[in-house]
Amino acid sequence: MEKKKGKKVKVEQGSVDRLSELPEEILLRILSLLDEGETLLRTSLLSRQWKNLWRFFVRNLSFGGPEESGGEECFHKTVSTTLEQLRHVPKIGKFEFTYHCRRPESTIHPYLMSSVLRFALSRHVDHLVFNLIDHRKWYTGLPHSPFTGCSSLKSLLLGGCTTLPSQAEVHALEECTFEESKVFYEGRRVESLFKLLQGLGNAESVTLSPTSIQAVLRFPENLENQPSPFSRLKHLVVSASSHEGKASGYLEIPDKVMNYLEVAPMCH
Amino acid sequence: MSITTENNEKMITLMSSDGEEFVVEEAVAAQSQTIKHLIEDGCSTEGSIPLPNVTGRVLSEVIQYCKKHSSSDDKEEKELEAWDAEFVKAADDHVALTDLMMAANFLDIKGLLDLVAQTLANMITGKSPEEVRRMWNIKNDFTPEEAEKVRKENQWAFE
Repeated sequence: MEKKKGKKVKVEQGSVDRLSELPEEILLRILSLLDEGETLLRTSLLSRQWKNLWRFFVRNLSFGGPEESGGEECFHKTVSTTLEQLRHVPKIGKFEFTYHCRRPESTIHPYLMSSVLRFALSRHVDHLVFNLIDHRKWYTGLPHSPFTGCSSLKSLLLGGCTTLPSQAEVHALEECTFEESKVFYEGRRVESLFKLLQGLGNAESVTLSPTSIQAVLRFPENLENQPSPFSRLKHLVVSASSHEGKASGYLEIPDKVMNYLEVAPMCH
Repeated sequence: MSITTENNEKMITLMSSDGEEFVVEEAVAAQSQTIKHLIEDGCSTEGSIPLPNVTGRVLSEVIQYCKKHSSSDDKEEKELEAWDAEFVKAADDHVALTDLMMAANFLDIKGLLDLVAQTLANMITGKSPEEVRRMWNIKNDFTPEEAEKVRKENQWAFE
């Protein structure tokens, strides 16, 4: 009899779910203190109540894909579903998106590109990496609307895209990198290159591809007539993708460009 | 009921949910924003302040915390931190900690709330879902299919 009683008490204690008794605001407070990553994510497996709580605390997101040729649709779906799941996330710190074009006929769907950029930029992303890797060296134009009014953006890396839309408002940008970008090849786009550089006025570090330096050179009148856009620039890096190293990039930058960019040669 | 001590500190009486009375200095009790507002609204002048959500056992711990933190304003921060660590260790039983957290929430004592929340977060860190469930007696109400679905849905984030 005694034994049975003891057992019963134990069962009662065991059935009280202490943590879930806490009001949701307290659970959220505890979750906010967890390191992002596995620990936070594992809480989704605790119970139905916990399933979605962690989503409020996602700060960094990284997508890469598709894994193999033919996986475009699957990747598209994964990204869309994840962004839908995370729609209540108020703020994103770092957002990385890398897309591999693996098949000749496959290009990134404009809708996917637009929804990814919209998601990141409307959540006041601080650091954005948007990299389209395409062995054919095709370049994809970016939609301009998400880039208006994104005042939080501190660093931006664009790969495989044509230039930022000229309407882009990225005034808080401190670091800007164009990788493998055809950014400025085509004549009609050079105008937007100059507009883009104007928009980078607060940047402290800008990385340009050698092709963009060449592109600027093709429009000497712009170099001479326009004031330098930079007031705070500390580092100008020429990416060495088609050169041996930085030194050779340095040698090829004519004074005119240096003057325009207001970079003293010794700082370089 | 309003009593004054020899060093002219105003005392107030708090009553726990199980009827236990605690007489504390007003400055100590006012660490709780909830009580502070009640005092400002004149609720402490007649009889004791009832705290229907807090048991005597928990309230005595809360008061212990408030006493320490109201008396050590200008003391070394380090010493206070060490004291805090000992304090949560003494309440290491997680049932006691969640009770303490509920009380801190109801009484609106930010320092205590932060302290206990951090302790609970540390206890969850690095544990498997099964371990956390066992620790907190969380009932796993997923069907196997649902659990698998959640696992799958969130797979991307594990990579």
